[in-house]
Amino acid sequence: MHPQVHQGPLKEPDVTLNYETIFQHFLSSEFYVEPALVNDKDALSVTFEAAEKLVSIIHICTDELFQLPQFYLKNYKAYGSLAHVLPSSFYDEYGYICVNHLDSVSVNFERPELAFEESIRRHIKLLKSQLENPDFNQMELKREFLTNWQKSAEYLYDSGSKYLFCSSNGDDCQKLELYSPFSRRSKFSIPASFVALPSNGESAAIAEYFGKEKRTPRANCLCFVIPLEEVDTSFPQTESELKLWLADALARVSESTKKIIKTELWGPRVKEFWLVLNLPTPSGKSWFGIRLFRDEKKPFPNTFEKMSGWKASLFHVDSYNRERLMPRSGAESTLADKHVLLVGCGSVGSELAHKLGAAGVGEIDISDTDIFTPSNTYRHTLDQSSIYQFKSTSVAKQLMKKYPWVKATGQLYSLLSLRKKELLSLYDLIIVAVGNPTHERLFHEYISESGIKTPAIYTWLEGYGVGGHAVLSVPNKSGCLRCAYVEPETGARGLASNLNFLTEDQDIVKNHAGCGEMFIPYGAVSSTQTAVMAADLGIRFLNKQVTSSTKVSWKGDGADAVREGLKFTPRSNNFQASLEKHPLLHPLCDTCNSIDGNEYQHGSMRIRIPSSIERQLSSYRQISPNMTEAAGLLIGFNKSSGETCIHQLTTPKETDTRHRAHFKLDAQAHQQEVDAAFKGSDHMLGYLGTWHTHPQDFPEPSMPDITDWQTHNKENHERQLFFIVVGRLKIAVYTVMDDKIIELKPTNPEACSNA
Amino acid sequence: MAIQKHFNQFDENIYLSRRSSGYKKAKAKDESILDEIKTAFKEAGYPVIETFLQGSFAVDTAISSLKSDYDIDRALVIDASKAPEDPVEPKQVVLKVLEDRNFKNPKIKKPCITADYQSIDLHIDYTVYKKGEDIFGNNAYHLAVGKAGSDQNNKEWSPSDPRGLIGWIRDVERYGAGPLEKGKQYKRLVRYMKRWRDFNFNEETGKKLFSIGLTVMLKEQYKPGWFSSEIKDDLVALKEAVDGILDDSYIRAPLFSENYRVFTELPKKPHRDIFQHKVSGGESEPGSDLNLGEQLKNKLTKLQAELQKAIDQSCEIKQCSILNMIFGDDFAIPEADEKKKAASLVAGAALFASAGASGTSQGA
Repeated sequence: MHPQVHQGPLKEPDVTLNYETIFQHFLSSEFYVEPALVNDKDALSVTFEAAEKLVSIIHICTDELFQLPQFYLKNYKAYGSLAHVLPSSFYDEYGYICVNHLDSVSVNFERPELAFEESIRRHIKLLKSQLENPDFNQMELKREFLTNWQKSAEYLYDSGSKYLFCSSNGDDCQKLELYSPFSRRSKFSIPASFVALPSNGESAAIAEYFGKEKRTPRANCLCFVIPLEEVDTSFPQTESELKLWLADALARVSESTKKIIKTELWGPRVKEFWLVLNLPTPSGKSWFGIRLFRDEKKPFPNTFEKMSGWKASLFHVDSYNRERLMPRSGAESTLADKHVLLVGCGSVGSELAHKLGAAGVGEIDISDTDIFTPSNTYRHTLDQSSIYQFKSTSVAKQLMKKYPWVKATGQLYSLLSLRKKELLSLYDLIIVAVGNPTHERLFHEYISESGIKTPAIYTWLEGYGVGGHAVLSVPNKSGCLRCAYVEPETGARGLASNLNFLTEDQDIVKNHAGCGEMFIPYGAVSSTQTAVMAADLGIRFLNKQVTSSTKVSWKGDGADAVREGLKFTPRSNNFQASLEKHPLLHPLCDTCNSIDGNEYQHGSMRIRIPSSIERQLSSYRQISPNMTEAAGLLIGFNKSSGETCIHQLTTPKETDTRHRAHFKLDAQAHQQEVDAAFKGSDHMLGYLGTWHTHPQDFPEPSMPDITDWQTHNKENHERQLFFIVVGRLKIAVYTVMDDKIIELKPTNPEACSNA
Repeated sequence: MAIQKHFNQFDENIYLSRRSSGYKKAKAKDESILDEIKTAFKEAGYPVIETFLQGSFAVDTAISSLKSDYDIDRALVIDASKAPEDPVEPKQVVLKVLEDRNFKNPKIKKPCITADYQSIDLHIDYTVYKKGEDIFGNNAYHLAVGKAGSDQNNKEWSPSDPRGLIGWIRDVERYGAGPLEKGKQYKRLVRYMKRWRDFNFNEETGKKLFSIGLTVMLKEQYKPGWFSSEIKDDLVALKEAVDGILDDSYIRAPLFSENYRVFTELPKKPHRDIFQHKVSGGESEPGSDLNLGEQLKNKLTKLQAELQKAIDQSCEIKQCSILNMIFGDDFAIPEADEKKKAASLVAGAALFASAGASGTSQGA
């Protein structure tokens, strides 16, 4: 079954552009604008001076402004070959002007006179620079070589318009194997086109992609890629001109190309030469083809004279090599050597596989034990042809069909059976999309215990469209999968992720036909959204844009869940960071945070400074006389046990004012870090106080310190603040109670010394 | 230069293009009549090979009239090799088309076919040319001259250069540096003078002070200087042009006469006098009638004096008052309304973006 194609005019709304205001607008503008008639049509003409001549461009009045107003250059032939000006099929003496892409601007159709002014300005700017700067014009002509070539040599293309998909290795001079089409059904399709593949073998994926096994090699024919250097930009219009043009272009190729041509192209006697030519232009290589053919076998005619017995025609070339196609279609060739293991190929996994393929990831191994059944149809990338096939192998095939250079395999392992160090170590990234927290946590245990260095992304969604999550756990960096499972209240290792938006132990799973047919209700939008988010995290990791353990969530509309009477977590209620990437590290994670360091106490008040923080503070000690004061804010949290814990510091900024004995913080810059920590930790981490250094061995709070602390304390009466002063030999911790400064003493007295 | 913005506003107020809302009906009529004429000419064996606007729309100096009546000036061109020997024949075809469409009083005049359309106050003026080549291979136009029933001596295909005339009026290269700004100023001066005529002459006399006459006089007398691209403001430029017209010999009393007539020769073929007046026997002689000569001399002299007063006046509002007396209410006198206008502009425009277009990152 084919989808219906509807073409043909739909009734357009009755609109008429108000040219009255437009003409009035230009009466006192900088431009010379006036009404005109062109072929009895109303037009707007603009005259301007360029290269000491008067130049006119005209716009044929239209009814609606759905793009930047289009202009034609009057008497365009009088200006010689002008780039961005093409013969127009409607108006003989008027050349169509291409001012970048008229669609890629947002046009002010409510004030058309301004849109006209903008368009006129752009047209004049372009034409002036071309008319007044011939070098620029030449460069631009070269840039649009292919367009002009195709336009002017229009009649030299084979009547059957031959299309060649060329999958050469790069654009260097090389011999290719030419294969004939294997179908005539649709003219513009790969089966109905010629294909040229590298003569020294191509990848299996490419062979498969172009259906090589169904094709026959073209007999009596030689196909060659020839990189051109310089060519004549006056284009051939007759067969004889084409031969002249070719002979001239071949005479100007580089020495290395010449050498290859002489040894490989000039020898063999064939009936057909397919020359796949490429030419460097300011916007990349342009590819096009010339075919020389005759009835008897002859060697290559390497001069114009020898070409007399040959016929010459043109064919279209679609260069299908990785370097060219991938960037053009948005993929990143830097990902070509990356190897990803994707475990889980359900609704999230299959979408993820496609996004990774589209991003240009070179190798993707997909593993899933499941079979694709009709009940998966509406939230999976597979179609009915894969029903009752393995999801992993089917999706792998789908990828290879869609992305010519991806190497995809399908495997039938479960996540737990993949716990093999040698295997997992092969990958640049593991992505787990199985939606099973138990297996994920077990898998993570294995990875961390066996010392595997491959990072892993775990991604899952929650039912009813409430949201989805992805965490990237990078070995040996703070933050791990456990961080996403710590219970925020107790610090215990939890069983449900603390990222979730729905509280645990609710009846979320729907059961339609007994134990075998359970499912969580969610739509394809949820799974796709989750997959896209996880793929983005993965791609950024592979690109080294993300290097540390990271978490990211999206929160959806919870209406369906509310209707079901489901309960939301506090995180869900506070969450406003959809798609934002935050550090995965949880302050209470027992594997990522050691409980070392010193505790300071006053009565029942206790504060812990982890040794890592202490080391950081010590690094700012004013040991040498030229070291200036350093200062920052304390960020931390209160444990349910009553102890306060410092989790991180803000450190001096370039925008701070720092002197030997005083400083001034750039409050905004420091506050931003506090806000980020607050948001990223789901409101667990907050502002706890300040720290600064003193050029003293044993620090004493100064009068300004005391006043400052008292002020801070008043402004933050809802929490107990702490103030740390870092001396050369001692770190002192203070707090304010009833306006009095109190120093907290270390529980272990030896800790006071930095020595 | 402060007065310039008031002239700009005045210009905008009187400006008329075929795309103006007021002209919409006239334009529709023009286009549908043209279609019918084309069909009729085709049937008659001499299809229209070219048609172009003549008159003020062709040179972008049209203004809205005080009585909201509109003109259609259109040239119909047929191939010389297919043209009938009798120049009145195609004019009869046009007449027939107009008659069939219930025009009021369509008639064949010597150089053209005219008609009025009552309901929308439309004046139609069609001319018929045949186009061939002269001995140098250049385009050569001949105007169909003659009335229904004219004898052989009074009808002819008369050499004419309508395109040349339009080109001469539109030409800006004669101005030297900064030609386009000067060209724009010239067009403004023509519009001002036409509105001055409409406002200061009674209908009958004003009708005879043909726009083409004013246009040609101004073209000849507008002298912005060759070397500098700077232009004077419209007030001074207009005053200088009026000086030029009065100093030159357009308005003169022919030899042995004390009565003034207006003379202006067409700068292109057939180089006849634009204002020629009728004499007994249906013949025409150069120069306008005496009434127009007298009136134009007086009114131009008065205009000259008033413009000088405006120039000497340093108060912008008083300047505008003088100009308002000259041109009528489309030349507004700024006062409290200025504020009102600004307010309404803001109310109307603030909703819309002030850029014409901007590049976007949006795509799908």
